Amino acid sequence: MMFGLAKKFDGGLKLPPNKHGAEAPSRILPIPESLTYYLTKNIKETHQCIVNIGETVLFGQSIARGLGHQPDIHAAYGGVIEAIGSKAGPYDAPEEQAVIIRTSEYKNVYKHDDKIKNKSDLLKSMGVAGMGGAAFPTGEKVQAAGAPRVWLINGVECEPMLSCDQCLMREQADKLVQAIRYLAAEIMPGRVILALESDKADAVSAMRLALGDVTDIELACLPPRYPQGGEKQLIQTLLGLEVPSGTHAAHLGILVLNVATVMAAFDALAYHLPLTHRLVTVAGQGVSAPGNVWVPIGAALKDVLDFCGYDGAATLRVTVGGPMMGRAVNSLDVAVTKGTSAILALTAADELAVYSAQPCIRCGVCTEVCPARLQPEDMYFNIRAGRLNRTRETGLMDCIACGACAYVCPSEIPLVASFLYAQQICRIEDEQKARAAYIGDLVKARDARLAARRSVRMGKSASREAAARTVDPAAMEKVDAAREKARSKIDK
Amino acid sequence: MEKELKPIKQGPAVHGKSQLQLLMLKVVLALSPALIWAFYVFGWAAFIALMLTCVSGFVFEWVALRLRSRGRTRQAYDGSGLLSCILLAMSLPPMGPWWLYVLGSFVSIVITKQLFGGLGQNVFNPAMSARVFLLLSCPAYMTAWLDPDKKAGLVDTLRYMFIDWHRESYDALTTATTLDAWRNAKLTGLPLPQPELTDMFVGSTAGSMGEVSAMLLLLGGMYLLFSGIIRWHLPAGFLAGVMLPATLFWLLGPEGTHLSPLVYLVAGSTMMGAFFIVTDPVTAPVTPHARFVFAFLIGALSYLIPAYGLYPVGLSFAVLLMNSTVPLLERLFRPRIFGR
Repeated sequence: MMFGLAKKFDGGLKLPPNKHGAEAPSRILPIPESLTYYLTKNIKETHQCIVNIGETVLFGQSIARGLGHQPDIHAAYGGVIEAIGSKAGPYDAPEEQAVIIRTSEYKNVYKHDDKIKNKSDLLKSMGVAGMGGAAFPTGEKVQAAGAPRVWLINGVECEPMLSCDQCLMREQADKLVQAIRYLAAEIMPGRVILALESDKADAVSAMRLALGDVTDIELACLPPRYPQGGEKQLIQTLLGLEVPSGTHAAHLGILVLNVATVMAAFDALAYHLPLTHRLVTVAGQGVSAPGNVWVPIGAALKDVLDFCGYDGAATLRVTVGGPMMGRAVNSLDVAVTKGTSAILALTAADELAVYSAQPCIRCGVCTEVCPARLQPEDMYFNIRAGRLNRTRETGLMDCIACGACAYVCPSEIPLVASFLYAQQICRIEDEQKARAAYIGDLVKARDARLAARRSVRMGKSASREAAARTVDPAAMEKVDAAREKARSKIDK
Repeated sequence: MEKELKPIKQGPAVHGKSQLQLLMLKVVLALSPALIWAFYVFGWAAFIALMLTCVSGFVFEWVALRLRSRGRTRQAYDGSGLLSCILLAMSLPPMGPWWLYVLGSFVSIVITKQLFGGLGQNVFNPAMSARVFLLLSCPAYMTAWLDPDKKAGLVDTLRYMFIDWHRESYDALTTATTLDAWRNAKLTGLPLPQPELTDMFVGSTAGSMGEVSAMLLLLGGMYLLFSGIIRWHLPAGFLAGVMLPATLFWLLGPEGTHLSPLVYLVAGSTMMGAFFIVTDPVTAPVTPHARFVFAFLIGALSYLIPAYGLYPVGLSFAVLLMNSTVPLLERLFRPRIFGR
């Protein structure tokens, strides 16, 4: 538990790398029988399906349009649309809406037309999303950053066990450099920095070799530390800037893209190739052949794990994403998405967290390792006491859920779980408040409209208004008769 | 899916090696050289005092947990009670009546800790509150320190502690601590004794088990510091808090009215306070700045109370006083949140 030698960003800690299979050459997953693409995320609709059941789709064909900024989804292999319906989802929601393709057609490739010229629209229509984990729409990110002061290419990969970015940089260093130069010409950044951690010696030397003597791309080789690869932490480390609370890097004129995302964006812009495959790290003691695998997006976790020698009997927990920020899944039918950087089959030998939640002794280590300079123990205490507002004041929404606090907690308190839960409740509350405020505004606007109309009428003729107020007995009789007539009609 | 996976929790799937029980045991390990030395210096009395405190403390804790709730009794084994009891025993006179230790562990474990909600919930330092309670309730027994040169054999010690425990019966065996002797001499106008710095540092003078050897306590403290169990803020703050007023008064005060700051530096109680008392995480603030201020003020008060107050010891009063300011300090020294 000795933390800190050289450190640039706040908090953080050194984690055992455990990058098993990182040095092995990447493999390619055999074509799976079926592919699943999610149309919803946490039950909220994110995509609109544009194919029908029984329809044949080709490789690369768009099968769902992203709503808003969401990038489109493309078939990773040709086949027949087998079903459109609910399917085990990767997040909290047990079931998500999905399109399922039965693969059968491998020869023909779908030709996209070249009409779209705008680069962020092209990125959206080619389905490019952040591949570091959060799957943020890349088109939106690039658009928000405009011509950034600094463009950071994130190859840090600070989470233990993950090595897909390392493998990509080692095997495709030349293409990556080419991609960076191509994109730099498109987005015109002031500076280009490629950041990686020094313990990935193979990736570092491959990138050095590929860059040669040209200095248009700066190579930043950082001492390993978690969570250095977090966007805000990387910016703090490299540039000494803090992204203001509640905003994104674009606010500071900085664009951060993961190395795999850069490759996908290059394919999309230069060749009009949609994002259909990604490199996924398969690791953990529950697989006999850990390493990096090229996986079609939409493949089931089961297929990928079986390809790497999955031992279902020994595995206690399967997570999608790294051991720190990844999420455990209930079912192996869950499909690989654009943000799936790893599939980990964890056994008892992987030092699993138990979260026995013993009493907090206020040792303060959580505060020390927090990169957002929060006080996790204080926040946890307030959440337990139901004081959500107090928790918010002390930075609940600034928590990046990196998991450093829960990792070091000697009492094994499920800190991150409680923060994510509280954040969710706060978001729901905010939504309800916003809706209530919106309805309140509508009511006010209506009242104002009616008042305005009334005053206009009053101004026009005060006498008519007065006449309307006095009830004419003859008129009332007429109304009553009409009402009686109508009622009898209904009875008939 | 062939087999049920473990229930899902958000947050890291893996956990570091830090564990509560292990943490407590490491602190006990850090205390053990000083304890073993105390056994050697004070003989059976020290050992019996420790056993009395720890065993009664465990029983009290188990019963209190059981009364609070059925499933809680496993918390009695987490080591925190053991640590509190060891710290308490180390701050009491090595030889005293048996009930002194049992009463002390009762106040420490039941009243200060369990009645406030158990581990992590107590506002006041368990060992120090029990010490203050005993000092106020039975001052005669709390100021009789066994003279290392007159330690008794097992049978005599048992007789003094369990049967013939009246203060007068073993009065001849006790003496004042170095700091007390100097203070008494100053108050009564007698010639001031010259403290033996080396004896104090190595540990062959009278006192509690926890102040006998500054050297071994420092050793334990260094272990805690370098194994990352404690951070430097608390011990450094405390030492600065003691040394700053001690040096100032020594330099500015009239000749011979103040002890040299070196005496405080080699006093076992200073080392005990710096590395084992103010570092109790539960009753200290969490943020580094607050921790430093907290420990600094404890140090300053623990110098000023015996120098100018009524009581010969300041540390326990200072700790309790500052314990009550922890929420305030945490509010004052809250770190700026990232990006705000």
